[in-house]
Amino acid sequence: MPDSAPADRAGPGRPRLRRRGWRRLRSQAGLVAALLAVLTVCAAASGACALMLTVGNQQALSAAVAAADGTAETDSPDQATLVVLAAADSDVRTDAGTLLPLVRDSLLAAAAPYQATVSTWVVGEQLFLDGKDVRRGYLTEAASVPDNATLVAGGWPARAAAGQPIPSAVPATAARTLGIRVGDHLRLVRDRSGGSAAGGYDLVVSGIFTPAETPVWQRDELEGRGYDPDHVRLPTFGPFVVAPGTLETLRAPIDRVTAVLDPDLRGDAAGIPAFIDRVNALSARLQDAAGPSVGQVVVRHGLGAELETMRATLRVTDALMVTVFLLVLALGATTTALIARVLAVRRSAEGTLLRDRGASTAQMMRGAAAEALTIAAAAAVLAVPITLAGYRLTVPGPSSWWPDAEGTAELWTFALAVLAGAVLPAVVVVISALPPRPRRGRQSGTGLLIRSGADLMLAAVAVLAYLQLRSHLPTPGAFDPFLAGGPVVCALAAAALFSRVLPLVARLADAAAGRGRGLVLPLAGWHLARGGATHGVFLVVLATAVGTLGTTFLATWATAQDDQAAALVGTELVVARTGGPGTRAELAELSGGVVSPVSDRPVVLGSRTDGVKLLAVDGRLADPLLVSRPPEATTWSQVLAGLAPASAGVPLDVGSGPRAITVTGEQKAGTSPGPKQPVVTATPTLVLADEAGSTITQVGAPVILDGVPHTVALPLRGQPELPEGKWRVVAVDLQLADQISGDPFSWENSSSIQLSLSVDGATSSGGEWSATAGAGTKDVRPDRVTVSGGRVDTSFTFSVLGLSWQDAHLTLLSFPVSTQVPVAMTDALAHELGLAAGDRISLAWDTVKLEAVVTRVIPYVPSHPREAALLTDLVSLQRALLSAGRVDSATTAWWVGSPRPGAADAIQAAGQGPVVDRTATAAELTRGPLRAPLRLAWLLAIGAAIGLAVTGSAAQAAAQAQQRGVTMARIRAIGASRGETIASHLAQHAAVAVLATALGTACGVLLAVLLAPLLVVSPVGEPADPAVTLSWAPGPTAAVVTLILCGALLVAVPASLSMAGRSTVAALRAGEAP
Amino acid sequence: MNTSRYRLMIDLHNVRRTYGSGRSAVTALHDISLQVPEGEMVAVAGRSGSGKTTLLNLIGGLDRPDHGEVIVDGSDLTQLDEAGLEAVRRDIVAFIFQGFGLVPELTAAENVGLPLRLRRTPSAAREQRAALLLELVGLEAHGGHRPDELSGGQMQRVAIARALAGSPRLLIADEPTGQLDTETGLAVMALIRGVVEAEGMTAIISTHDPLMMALADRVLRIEDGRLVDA
Repeated sequence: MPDSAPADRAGPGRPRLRRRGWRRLRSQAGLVAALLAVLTVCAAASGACALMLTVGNQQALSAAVAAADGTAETDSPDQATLVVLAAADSDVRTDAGTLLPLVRDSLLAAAAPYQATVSTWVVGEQLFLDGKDVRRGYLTEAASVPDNATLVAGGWPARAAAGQPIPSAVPATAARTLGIRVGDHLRLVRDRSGGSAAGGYDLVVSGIFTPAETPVWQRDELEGRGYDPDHVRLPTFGPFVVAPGTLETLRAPIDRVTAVLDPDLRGDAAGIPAFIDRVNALSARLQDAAGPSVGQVVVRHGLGAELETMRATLRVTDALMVTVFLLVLALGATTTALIARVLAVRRSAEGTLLRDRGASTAQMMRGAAAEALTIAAAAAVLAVPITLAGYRLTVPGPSSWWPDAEGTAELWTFALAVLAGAVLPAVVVVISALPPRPRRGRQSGTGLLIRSGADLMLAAVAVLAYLQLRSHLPTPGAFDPFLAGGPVVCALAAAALFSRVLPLVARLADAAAGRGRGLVLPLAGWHLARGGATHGVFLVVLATAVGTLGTTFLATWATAQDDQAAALVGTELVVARTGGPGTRAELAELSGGVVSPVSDRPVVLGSRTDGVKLLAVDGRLADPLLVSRPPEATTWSQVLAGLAPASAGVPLDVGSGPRAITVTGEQKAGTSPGPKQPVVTATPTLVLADEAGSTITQVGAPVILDGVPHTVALPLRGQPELPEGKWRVVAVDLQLADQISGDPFSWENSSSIQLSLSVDGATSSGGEWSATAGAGTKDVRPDRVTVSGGRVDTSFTFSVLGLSWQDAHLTLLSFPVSTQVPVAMTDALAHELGLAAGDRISLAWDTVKLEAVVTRVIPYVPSHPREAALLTDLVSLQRALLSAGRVDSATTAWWVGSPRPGAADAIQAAGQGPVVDRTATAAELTRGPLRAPLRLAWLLAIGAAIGLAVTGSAAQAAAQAQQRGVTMARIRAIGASRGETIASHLAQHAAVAVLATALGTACGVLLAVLLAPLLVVSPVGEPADPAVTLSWAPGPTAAVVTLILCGALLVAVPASLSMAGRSTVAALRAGEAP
Repeated sequence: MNTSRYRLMIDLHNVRRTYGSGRSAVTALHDISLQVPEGEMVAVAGRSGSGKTTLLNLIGGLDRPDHGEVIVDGSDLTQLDEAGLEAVRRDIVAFIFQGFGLVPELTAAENVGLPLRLRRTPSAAREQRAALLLELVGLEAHGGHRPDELSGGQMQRVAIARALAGSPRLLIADEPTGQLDTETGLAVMALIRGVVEAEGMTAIISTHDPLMMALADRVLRIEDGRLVDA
């Protein structure tokens, strides 16, 4: 009969319901407290999620930007905000006194309201060194010079006293070439005729320094070389470094100002885009403000792109965090449902009584809603300080309770999230107040059909979610709903399906119970199979699955970050410097590891418009050096073995220290029509390689090829000497020039020269060398080259007319000439270009044309994951470059394998250049501000899963104990002991707990196998490279499963004891009541 | 009735049972003394709340008196510990409850087999005896039915079969027809009467139905916790 109006009128009034509610709250305080706790967890999880996605994101972004911005002095365009102002090429030059305050003010205005510092590097105008020769020099003031140079004599300059010479520090190369020492006086003048006092500066040398190999010297006119014999056609010396503020005070005309803006962007991530806009507008603003005296203003920064990358990383972290929080909410809702069921059982008699007395369903529901909302509101109130305190404890930042006092929108989002997190699960409590459906003895056929259909639907949903997750492509920089929701759908469906296994097992227990003799285990089996003992299974299965998935995900994630860091850096330490002859020894001493030069730079491959990265490493050191995961079923040394040259060649072995070379060149009879033989000079350059394969060059003085032996001492003055060790001359380059005058046709058309070159103290096994005139040199034709001991003999012909127009090079090589470079190519690049092993493609190294031979296709190239890249052997590359006439060292950086702890700091402290540390990169990827929240969220989710599973198990055990009370009293009435009833209840609960945790573990393992590799993506959401391999965490997983299992078992003990205590005559009488 | 010639199955001396304490204490039984010889079927009549159930619970070892002796089959239940009482309930006494007292998750046959499980009877013998008893109570076709698939009369017959399963010497039935209609109730009482005679057991049955009392050898009336007509 439906509830009728009279019944409603007869039902209890509001005050009575209210009183009843309070009485009920008091009498069921334990259950209400448990419900309050679970709703508080849900609200806190929801609030934490909102907090992390709003305020947390801003703070993480600020921290990440601030961390990136802290290295602005490296001049990396990705990190620094550099402003370069070049003076106009006019007679009226801008001066430091006018320009520097303008630059500083403009930059600080652009940075406002952020705190910022501006450092400048000022290059003064080109002046002349007073004297007979035409030599130029220039002044420089920059506060950062002392940090990027080593003082070898004297001290850094101080401000000049009035009327006194200006103290100045001079590079060692310039000082050596000019022959000046500390204390010497010199004068730089604008006009070589002497001019007035205002046209020049009197300097006194305060110190002599050696520039460090840091990128900051790119701001210098001579890039730190100190001396260039032919800088814009004139010998130039500099910089003459003066004290900061000197040029500004003197209002000295300047050539260029490089300003670095270093803002502290922490605290207000929301303002960063506007800051970037202001920086982008700096160029036009400065140009307008400086006027025509400034010819060019260049603003370089990578903040925009970097910010986008950071935001993309955050979106990925956000999506994965939402996954975690949705799982926690699902667990919370399930636990709430269990507690609601206990409440419903406890209140069933009361409900029946009220309904019998005429209370309508609507009245009952209103009462339940009021109660649930009251508890939800209390949970929300409790969750706010808990969430904020947790946030403050786990996320570093300003020490205020609310992370961002001005974030009104964030405050509302947080409040709504907390409220929703508490109220939504509470709806389950309201629903549970509905009148119970009549209980049927056995499941009907229709019920079975519905259940089977639901199972199939769940399986279909899980499979679809998995396939969607596996196949979809993320949108870079956008929140990925599939990444967030897919795993949750899969996890819920899988947990539901795995929960279905327990009834099947229970049927076996049922059958076994029928056959058993005793009472305890059969009774447990019957209750398991028929008594609703499996209601809490879904929660335990889901919680265990989340715990297993969480621990495995974290292990896989950590391994993947290590892998990605290893792939990103390539080795343990990368020292970004080209280095001189002693670099390897210095780095080896500082790091204690395996040091090797590498060449890592962009090249042009075929007609591909986008650059391709070429990494060349010493194949012999591949295994200790390359720390990233090699291609499957191979090692890096095996990969590189196929890329190294087949033969060692016939190099000349030499020792360290100074040496002399003797060059003898004799011209033979020329060809018609000219009668005169030209005077030909050759400037020898030795290309020496050390044991690690690093090459350096030593340039000698030019010698006349007149048939007379000429001895050249190496190194020349100003060049570095070779350090101790074994060195080999692998090539000799001869720059050829002739001197002809008058009518060129009065000279011989071509000439042939017999040349021999001996290196003192050199030895060799003897044999043949090869020779090349280099690409583009058509005026020299080499013949056969032989080597014996330390002597190299060859002959060549050359075009007299050709040499009169342009110098030519003849390069003698200790190995066969070949411009082919065997490379391993990434599979993506090979696929893009349609290349396979054995194919060839042109490769442009700067202007040098080489040919790449694809010998192998590999998944990725170390230090260039997810990039179009090539890998080759350093010696192969250097030989190809030498074969093309390029004698410069190809080394762009030094890689260090197996360094001792602290090596990166030691190298940086020694001024050996910026260091990229694999360990630090891995730490940044794992614990950086943009990624750390994910790890934290998973750890919290695992903790919540354990707590909620135990709470839910306690609720289920309590409900079971409550339901079993009368049954156990009846069984005791026929002679069962108290111990037997307790044992039976515990056995039933233990069976459920063990089976549920086992099923949950299996479910978690399956989810981990399927989902963990998909959830671990690159920082910007792309598939990780190298591919993710699943890493198990048996210890943590076992700990989580054990905690859930033990917790679920332990909570059954008090419930069983309580049940046994209640299975008395009184319960029997209550149960027998009609 | 002269009971001295017979062995006493139930012998109560000055049994008193009080619930609660102080001013709220309620005395359910006042110094009751009672003897029931072996093989007799006794009906205990009285209104609701008169103390019938308390008396039966004390005799069945489900409860303990505050004062007096409860001797069942020669054993003083007041001197037994919990294990002793469990043994009495398992081996000597069998209950039939007004609400049938069946375990709802178990089938009729499984419910009947419960007392045999307590004695660890082999499953084959157990199943055979359960089938026999169900046949005895006319439910041989309903052995696989659960209680909620049976009528009230059928459930009570299952309860009777379960009570007989352990071959008790004393059958205690607490208003066994209380939830049954008159016709079914009579049938159940007739069944109890029949099995008591057939098995030679002693029975004590509480009821307030005169028709039921007619089937008993003796009727005890209890009012406000006192036997008024022994």
